[in-house]
Amino acid sequence: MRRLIFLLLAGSLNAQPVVKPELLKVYNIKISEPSDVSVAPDGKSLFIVSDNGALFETDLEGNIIRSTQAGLVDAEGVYADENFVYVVEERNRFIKTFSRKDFQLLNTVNIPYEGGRNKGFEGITKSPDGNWLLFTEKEPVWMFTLDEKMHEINRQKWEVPGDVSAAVWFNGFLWLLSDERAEVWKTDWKTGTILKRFKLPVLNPEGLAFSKDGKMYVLSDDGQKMYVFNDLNLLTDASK
Amino acid sequence: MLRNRLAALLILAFFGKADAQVTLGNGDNSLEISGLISTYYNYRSLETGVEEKDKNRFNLRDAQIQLEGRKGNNWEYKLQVDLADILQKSADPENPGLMDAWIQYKGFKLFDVRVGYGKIAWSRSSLTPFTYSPYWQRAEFLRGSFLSRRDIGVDVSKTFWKQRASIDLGIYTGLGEASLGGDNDASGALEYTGRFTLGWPTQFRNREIDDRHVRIPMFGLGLSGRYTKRNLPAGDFFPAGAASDYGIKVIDGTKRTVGIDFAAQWQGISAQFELIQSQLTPSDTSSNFLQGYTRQQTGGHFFAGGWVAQLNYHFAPAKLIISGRYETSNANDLLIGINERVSGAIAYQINGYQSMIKAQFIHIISSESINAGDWTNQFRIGWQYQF
Repeated sequence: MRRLIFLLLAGSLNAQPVVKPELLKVYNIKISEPSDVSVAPDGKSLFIVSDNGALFETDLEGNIIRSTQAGLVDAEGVYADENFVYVVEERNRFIKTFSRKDFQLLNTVNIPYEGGRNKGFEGITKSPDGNWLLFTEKEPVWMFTLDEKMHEINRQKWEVPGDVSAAVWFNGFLWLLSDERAEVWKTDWKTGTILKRFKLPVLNPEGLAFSKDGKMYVLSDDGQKMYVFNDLNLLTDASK
Repeated sequence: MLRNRLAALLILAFFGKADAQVTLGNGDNSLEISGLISTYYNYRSLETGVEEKDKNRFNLRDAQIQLEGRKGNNWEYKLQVDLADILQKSADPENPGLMDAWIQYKGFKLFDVRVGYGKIAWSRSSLTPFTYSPYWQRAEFLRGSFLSRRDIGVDVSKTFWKQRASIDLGIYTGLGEASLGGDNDASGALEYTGRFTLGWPTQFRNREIDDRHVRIPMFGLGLSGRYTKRNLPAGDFFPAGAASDYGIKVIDGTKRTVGIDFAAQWQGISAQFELIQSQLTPSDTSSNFLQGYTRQQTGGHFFAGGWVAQLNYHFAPAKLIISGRYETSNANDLLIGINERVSGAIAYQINGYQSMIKAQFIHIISSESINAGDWTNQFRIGWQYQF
């Protein structure tokens, strides 16, 4: 019986140490309910989507340069490359491709998923092998792997200690953001395990991105704020 | 061997995930199907001389099916029924058979409009979903006997200031859960409601427990008001059950209610405080509610209401919620005595709120004469499972 009680209690204990990143700057942004952010490949602007269905391009301080609604609904994930911006709609299970040049909607692909309506797709990024990685929020957390044409080729269940609200590939690792835990996780994407946890002083964090110089951008949904953290590799021992 | 198998079964049961919500969609309209089953065992220790032990029982509290949908960005709808209460023909306003049947339009720039049957926007406790509480029962004066929790009508709402603030204005039949009977009462009157909420530093959701262990202290304030004036023609009565246990849920006369609630949370600790006060003025100046006092003595009215304070802690490593609560209420200030209760609750989150074992203990410290109960302590333990 003692062993059983130990197992019940130990089941939720997390062994990874939690590290606090260094906050550099906080920007108020004029985007209602921002839900994800992606850094443009040239590093000169940001693409931000919002819960109420809009896509924005902003400067690196979150000032709006241009925007479109283009029939978007419940946009929760965004990824930008040289020519296109890809937006994930959580509720409708769509990935919509926009021309980066003029925000024209070019393509809509349905990724079937029967889970909870508001527990659908929250994060989209690309792995080094060119496949798309698509994350559901919770109950359960799934990582969908899609080929370049967005056909599902694998589905992997992740056992993580919270929800997933954003996913981004950076510096050879897959990084996940947990809204409920207010944490960023550096992960081993092949085994689906957390390597390191970073605790954020942010309420309701919903979007995650990294600039080329390693700065970490986190959006706060409720607060309409954008937090910029220093390169996580530069953390001193004192801050750990 | 048998012991090992039993242990394995228990582990499977305790770590089994409830991930069964299903969503159907056609690209524009999405419909989520979910539900809740909860069962508890109830035990009461009775007042001296009381023999009836019918409340010592297992009870199927919930057998709910919920359909919740959205169409585009502008339309939402919800239908939620509790089959257990429909089959039991339960008149408990805390746990009714039909829980929600409404549509909401969000296409106006200035406000959202909700039409149908559902929760009235007032009282933080009433608006907090049962499944997010470690308790099996709300505070007595917030359970729906003093004031209705649901009704048929129209609610207009608006959030602003980065969602920190919200305002709701509603018009309802005023009959509460009894409105489902069809007709209004003979007065033909309506009830008007309003609620203002403010969260800091961001919006404060209707949740009791800080399961996110927020690192920045959060606060929520709510102000509510309700008004109805119902003058029944001579010889007419309210529909059966409309006045509820204390006879004050609707009265022949005027009922004005104000409420204030406050909530805070930080690092797993959370607290709630809520106060409700109703002024009831019967049309009949010699009404029994006034207990024979003169108009000069009472001003022609009496008061009903109460307050509740609750403190909670979410112990994440052990998946435990621990809570304590004190409540005091008065169904009629002209009657002798007040109701006082203390409660404690503990919940074990097998899989968050989706699969949770909850235990609650209530001790009655004192009772008002109108509410002289037949029990002193109540213990309730059970399991809620959402799918």
